[in-house]
Amino acid sequence: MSQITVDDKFPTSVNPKYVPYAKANDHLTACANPIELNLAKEFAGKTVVVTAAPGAFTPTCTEQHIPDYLKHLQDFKDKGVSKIIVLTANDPFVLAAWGKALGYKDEENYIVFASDPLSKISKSLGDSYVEDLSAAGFGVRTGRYVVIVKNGVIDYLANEDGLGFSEISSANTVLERL
Amino acid sequence: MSTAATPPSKIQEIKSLAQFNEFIKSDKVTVIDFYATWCGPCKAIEPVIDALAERVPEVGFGRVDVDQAQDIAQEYGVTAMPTIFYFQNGEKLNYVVGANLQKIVQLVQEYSKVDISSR
Repeated sequence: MSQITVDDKFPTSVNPKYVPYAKANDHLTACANPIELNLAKEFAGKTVVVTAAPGAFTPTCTEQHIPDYLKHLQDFKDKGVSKIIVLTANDPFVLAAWGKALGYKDEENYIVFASDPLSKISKSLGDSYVEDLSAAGFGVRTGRYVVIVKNGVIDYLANEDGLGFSEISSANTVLERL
Repeated sequence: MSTAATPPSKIQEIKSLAQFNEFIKSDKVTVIDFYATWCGPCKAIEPVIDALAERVPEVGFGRVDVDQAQDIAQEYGVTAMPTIFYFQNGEKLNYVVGANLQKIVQLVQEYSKVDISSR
């Protein structure tokens, strides 16, 4: 399968589902309803950062990768990023809980935690964008990567090519490229 | 086998966006309950919505199963269940997210101008 590259369009044939943060969901008087995040609509005319992580609540993702992005939300806004999409292969309910656990509780939903169904979106970027963690009992997960999408077109693409977190997918690296 | 037949619910089950748009066009106040079969809080308010539908015929009550009618849920941006919408003449008057019975009943009273406690 061919690998996607800079200047290709970010695939929008599969939309991830997510549960937007809302105060009502916090109070257990309502059940969250996962809704589709329309990628084509989100990308049109805007700059979006998409970053993927192998698993919600797993150590590296929870302790380093996403907190790094959460610390820099205003910096991303200042650079004109309209949305940050965090993708994992987990279901939308786990992702919603993870977002809250990481401390993101803003109804603005500037950063959304969305489910890459069966890692299909990541797989469509290329084989190196998924990790088969079946041996660990996790199934096929997304790899760790980050993409800057400008008006639907990939402007920057960086893949950790493994499970670790390094400068490659750090917030500062992305901010420098914006 | 004899069972006491449950009277058919006065709540209209709405299955399509077209049916939905037709239902809310009414000059009667219409109240729509967006629910999911697996959602606890939705089940909790069911008896109250049923009772309201029974006692306040001046208001049209409808319900939408968000799993069966995803297009309607998407159109109206339903992100949590239950979400109760209030309409009249096709215009959205208000909505309540969550099983806030007090608010739900209060708004039915307010928009229908019916004294519910007398029914």
